[in-house]
Amino acid sequence: MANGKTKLAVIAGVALASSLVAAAFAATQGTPGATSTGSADVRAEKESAVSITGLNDIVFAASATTPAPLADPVCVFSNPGSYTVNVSSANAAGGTYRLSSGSGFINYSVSWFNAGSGGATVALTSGTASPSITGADQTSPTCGGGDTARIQVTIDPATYISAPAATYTDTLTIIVSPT
Amino acid sequence: MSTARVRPVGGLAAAAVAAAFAILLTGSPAAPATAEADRDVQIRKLDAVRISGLSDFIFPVSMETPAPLTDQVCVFSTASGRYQITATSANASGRDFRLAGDGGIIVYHVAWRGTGGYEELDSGRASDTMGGGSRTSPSCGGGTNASIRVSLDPATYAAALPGIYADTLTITVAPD
Repeated sequence: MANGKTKLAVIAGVALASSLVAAAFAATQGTPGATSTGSADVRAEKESAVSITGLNDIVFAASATTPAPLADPVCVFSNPGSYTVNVSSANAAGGTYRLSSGSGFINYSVSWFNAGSGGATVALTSGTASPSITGADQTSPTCGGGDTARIQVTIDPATYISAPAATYTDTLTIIVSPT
Repeated sequence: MSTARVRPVGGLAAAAVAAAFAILLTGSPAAPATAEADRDVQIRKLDAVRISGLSDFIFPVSMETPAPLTDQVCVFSTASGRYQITATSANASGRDFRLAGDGGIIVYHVAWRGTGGYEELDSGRASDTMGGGSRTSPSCGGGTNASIRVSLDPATYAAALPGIYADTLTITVAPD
């Protein structure tokens, strides 16, 4: 599992999922003779791992009217190749993402794309893991310097237009898990 | 074999000699007096070897390529302690040792050290002559005198999907 946070800003991290290989001792020993043969098992377990990097803060320009959505390309590494993402809002109300001024709120929505550009979109609910998403880089934790996904934030026009003038902020926490 | 033997008893007059003879008889009187036979006993002792002390190689769970593992073993060889090693991977491809799993394969390397440094082995191919085996004790007196090193290939490990990979490594020792 990997997680990150964004204040419509984001911090990334890496966490690893693992399990232990059960050690079943199966080595056999040779007996004296013209030749002698023994055997040993060789076992390795490749660990599932994910990371999300390349996150940036998402800062909208000051505007009297609803600004256009903003997207941030990111690198998702998952050696199984697929993953789920759980993006939660610090000011959530139920599953709704919200910006807060301290006295008022503006709702917004978050979508996840399985490519740095283009790709399929998944609408997210705060605090709920997405369905399995494909397209992660399976071999490079840095995606070879590229991006394999992007997060998009869309301001809700109804709550934006009625909100008092102020600065509204939120922190998104992003958790990526291998699937 | 039986033996009949006739001998005089005491110093008697000649006329009485015949009656005074005692006959001491053992066995069949028809058997020859003596018999001898020779039987050669021969054995050709061939050189003997033994490998023991083997343990499984269980690498720790890891996203990155784990460090090599080594195992200390006992090799006994009456051929002045010399021997050859043939290590064979159950999942070999050509001379490559391979672990197999649902997510593909991981190549690994096997090296052997008798005396001197490690010698890299090929699956199914006999090594050069190794030395340092015990000449007298099939159990090496409870000690070890050789070492096996197993290392995973970083390139195939990085490309492998998560999961468990396994192989059986069979090691045969022959005198040299």
